Amino acid sequence: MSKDRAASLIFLVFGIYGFIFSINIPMGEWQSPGPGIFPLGISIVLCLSGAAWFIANGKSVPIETVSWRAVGKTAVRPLQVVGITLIFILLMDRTGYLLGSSLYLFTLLLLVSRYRFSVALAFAVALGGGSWFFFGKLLGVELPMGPGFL
Amino acid sequence: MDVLSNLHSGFQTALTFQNIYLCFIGCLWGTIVGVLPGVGPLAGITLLIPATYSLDPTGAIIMLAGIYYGAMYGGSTTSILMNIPGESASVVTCLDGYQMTLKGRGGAALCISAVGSWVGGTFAVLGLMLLAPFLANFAMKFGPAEMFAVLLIAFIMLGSFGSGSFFRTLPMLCIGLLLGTVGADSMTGMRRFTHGIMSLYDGIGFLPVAMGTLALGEVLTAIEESLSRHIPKVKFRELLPTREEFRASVGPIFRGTGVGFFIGLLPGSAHVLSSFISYMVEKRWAKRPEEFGTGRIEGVAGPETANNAAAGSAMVPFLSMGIPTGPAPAVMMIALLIHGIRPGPLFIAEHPEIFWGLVASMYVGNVVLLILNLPLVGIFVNLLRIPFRLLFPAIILISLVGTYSVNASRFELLLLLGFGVLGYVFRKLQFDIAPLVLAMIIGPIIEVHFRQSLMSSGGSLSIFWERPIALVLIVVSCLLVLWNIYRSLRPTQAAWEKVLSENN
Repeated sequence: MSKDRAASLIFLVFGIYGFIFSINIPMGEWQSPGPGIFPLGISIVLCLSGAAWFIANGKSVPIETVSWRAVGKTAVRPLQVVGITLIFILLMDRTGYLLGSSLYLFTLLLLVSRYRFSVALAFAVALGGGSWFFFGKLLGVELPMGPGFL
Repeated sequence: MDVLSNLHSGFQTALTFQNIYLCFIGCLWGTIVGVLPGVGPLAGITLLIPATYSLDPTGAIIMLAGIYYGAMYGGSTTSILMNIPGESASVVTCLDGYQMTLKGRGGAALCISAVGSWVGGTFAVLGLMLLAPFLANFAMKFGPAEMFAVLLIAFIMLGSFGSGSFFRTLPMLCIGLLLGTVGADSMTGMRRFTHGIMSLYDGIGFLPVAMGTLALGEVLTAIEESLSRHIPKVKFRELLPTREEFRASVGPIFRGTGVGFFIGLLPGSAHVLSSFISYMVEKRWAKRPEEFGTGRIEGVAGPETANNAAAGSAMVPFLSMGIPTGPAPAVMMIALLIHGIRPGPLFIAEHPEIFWGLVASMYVGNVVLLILNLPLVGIFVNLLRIPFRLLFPAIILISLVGTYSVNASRFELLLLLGFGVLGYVFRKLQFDIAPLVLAMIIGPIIEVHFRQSLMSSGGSLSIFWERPIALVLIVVSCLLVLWNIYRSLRPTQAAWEKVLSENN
């Protein structure tokens, strides 16, 4: 599949989603256009655009194709980062910022960046503690509190 | 006289201890993000937005603008010394800049690049100072129909002159516009696309989208690559250009200023486009164009001046009409919106201290950057020794805590992550994500003006051609669309060659 054709599928998903959910919003009249008219119009343009990209890239020989094996290889690190970040976000309220961010950084530095255990731990504590001090203490951002003083 | 007295009061604002400090921090951070490959000016600005919450709006915009034009200065360093563009506007600088380094003239290229950036940046601020109040006064006469037409042409130009083709940018603009409609409708209060999720009632926050697509998406893409590099050393005495090099640079610097300032006024990736056009102008102007790409100083001086001039002039439509013409002004607009200030035709009249304070700070900032980028260039080059595998966790953490600090919402963090993945995917598919963010910001404004126009005309579309300014703008928009259709349908040189070879 060509890269453009893969992109056209994303456009179609957004366009069809917008179309389905905007037809139920009141359209109003020309004298007083309702809140549905603008998203409906955009969704139609997006669907047409996605369909045009899909058709235009179907017949011609793709200049650059998506190699799913290559994507699997190169996307390992971004996927690891996304997964670890998701866990951090979901657990942040329970662990608190100071502990959570240090654990999060430690995991990233150990698993993704491949630092040694002690190096990863040192950087994680320094960066996590530093960001907690900068945002929480200096800028007064209300960060989630965890168990104890963490 | 008005301009001079306003500028005087602007300098009084800009030269307070706090604002000089913020300008310096912005310029320093801008140079750092410009130097570091994988962290562009957009990521740099978005990462420092949280640090502006406790500041007054003037200080906040002074610092963020400093990052923007500072990154233009810093971006050339890695292009010249390592053939790695620190940010997209410096891609073209690699062509001759790196060749000069190979010939032992890298220091001179850095010097001319810094001087050109200073000239381009300073003249652009002069243009901003003279043009923006005039344009704002003119725009105050605009009704909803004219504003709609202005925004429409901005959208079409964004597609036409952006980094991709019009039909490549169009779907990204549409997705951005669609995202901008999520939440309560500003005219009726009716909820759209909220699916009963309370956190969406106020719409999708600009910050999670900008941080996600621009900062996180950029990092996710960058961590795929190995970033081991050789860094040449630059000695201070090597920075001085020869008399011939200096003489050859004067023309390109002044032409680059003109090209950059004009291109910067247009929507699209102005600073990127301006450096390419300036390079083409210099090549065409040169007596021996075949020598371009082998280490000509003109190939560094013109583009580096142009991208700084474009960064300055991009502020004109953003501050005077509320139209962010590129992703960086769009992110600055988000910062001002967070402070409760909306740029537009009334902005300069209602907040003169912010506008003139910013203008004056840009003069100061350009001098600060000249100092930072000439004698201290060696220090910035050493920053490249920080491994990216240590840098990226810190960048992601700052994005997360920065987004969290606005509404203390875990939902917004999930949005940030989702948009980060979307940004990564679109980067992999080679679609420019910046128009999506721009459209999301401008979308709600264009919708309101469109609906208000129809309401004021009793539902008649004739309002768009009965008013002369709206008519001209809409005709130009239509012509631009037709030009884009023609451009995409006309046979390419490769297609012609294929047909000819088949016939033979």
